[in-house]
Amino acid sequence: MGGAALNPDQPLWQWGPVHLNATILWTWVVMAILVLTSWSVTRRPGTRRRPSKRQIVLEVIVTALRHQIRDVSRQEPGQYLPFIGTLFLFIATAALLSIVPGYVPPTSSLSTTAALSTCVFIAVPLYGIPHLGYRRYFRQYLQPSVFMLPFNVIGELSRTLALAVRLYGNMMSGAMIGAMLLAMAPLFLDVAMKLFGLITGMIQAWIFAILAMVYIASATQVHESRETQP
Amino acid sequence: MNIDWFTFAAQIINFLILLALLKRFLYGPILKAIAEREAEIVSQFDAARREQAAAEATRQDLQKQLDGLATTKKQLLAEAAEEVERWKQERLGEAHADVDAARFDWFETLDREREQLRSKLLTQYRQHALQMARGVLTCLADVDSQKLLVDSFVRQLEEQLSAFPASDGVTVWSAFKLAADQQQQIGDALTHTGIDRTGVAFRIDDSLICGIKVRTRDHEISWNAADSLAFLEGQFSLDLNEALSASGVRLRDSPSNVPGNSVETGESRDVS
Repeated sequence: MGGAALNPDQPLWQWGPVHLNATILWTWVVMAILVLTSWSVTRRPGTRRRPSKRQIVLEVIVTALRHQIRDVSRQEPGQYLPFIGTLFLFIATAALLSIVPGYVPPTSSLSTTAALSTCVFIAVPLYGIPHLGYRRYFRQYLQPSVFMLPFNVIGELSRTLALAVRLYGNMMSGAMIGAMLLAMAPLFLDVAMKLFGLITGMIQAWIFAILAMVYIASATQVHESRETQP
Repeated sequence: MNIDWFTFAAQIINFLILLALLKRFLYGPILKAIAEREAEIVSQFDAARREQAAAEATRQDLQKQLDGLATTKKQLLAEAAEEVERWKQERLGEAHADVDAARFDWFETLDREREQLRSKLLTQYRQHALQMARGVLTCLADVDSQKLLVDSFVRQLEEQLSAFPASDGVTVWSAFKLAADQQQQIGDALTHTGIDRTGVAFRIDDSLICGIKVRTRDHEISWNAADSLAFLEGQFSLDLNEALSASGVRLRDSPSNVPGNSVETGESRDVS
């Protein structure tokens, strides 16, 4: 896995254009952990008055996400919760599993972070157009003048790229530094770096989710307020 | 720093699958559970508010009942007090009536006893007085005194002849046996009234004290010491009543104290 730590997209198994690498493999692991944990808790929910402890933990997480979404978007969090919550839980779980020996975070692959950023890039018009309509949504790229269209498009693309590179750089650097320290320094230093990587990973997950929410909220509110100006 | 486009596409698909699965197994059930719990809490609050309102209504109802009971209690107490006061007044009235009746009976008994005592004393007093007077008069009685007595009676008889109609069957009562001349003198006086002398009878009456009494069917003329003794008896009754009153014993007015029912005296002796 040493090579996988440096480039997790290297194929482990290949059949034509289809191949399996560490990024996809550990992504499935993360997905399995999230889905199985949720299913095991919610398949037999506790009584209404006394939910189980694991259900309470999930309710705390979900409620915290709702509050964060409401604070950022100033809107009801119901429609944004699945997308933003999944982004946060996936990135955070991928970072938390870094304490497992031999684990390679999927978010240390640029393909994964670019895929997540692309999802955000697609989600912005998907949330914005139902709020504003096609004309009002796409007209905001012409604001304040039609000459700003290229700059607005570049802005959209650059922020998506920044989103992907920021997450990739932080997670990849953590994995890279950990692999290098493991080869050069005593074991306890690698443990310290892993713990530090946990904090960094949680912060990056929060940043990614908040920025995604800001982009989506700006597509529904800022444009709307701009349209309402006389 | 290169992007593996197969991995890129696979991660997009993986993310969308994860989103769908978490929406199915995490957000949906958790949000549903939270919503149900909130709804249950809201319903419990509503139920609590309804129960509180019902309890408040019950409390007000009970308060009204307590107020009503308090009012009823006051009314019952007032009625009971009034009833007790009325009963007390009735019992007091009955007690007063009983006391008055008892006092009346006691006074009646006392008057009766006093009257009996007075009569007894009078009887004894009169007997003593009579014995004394009889003794004195007996000692003084002689021919001269009897003659004086007859003379005085004849004069009285002559003064009252006009009111003494003629009648048959005249009886002359005397405390002592009249001599023949004395019978003759009285007979002569009666003759002036038209009475037949042969119809005059002379009798002796021990109850007369040194006296003579002429009686027809309807009229009587008498002169004797019994009248003086009657006066003495009346005076004794007055003195006895005054003595009892002065001793603190309040007695009802006895028949003898009623005005117009005075004791007969010697001056008021009846000539009928």
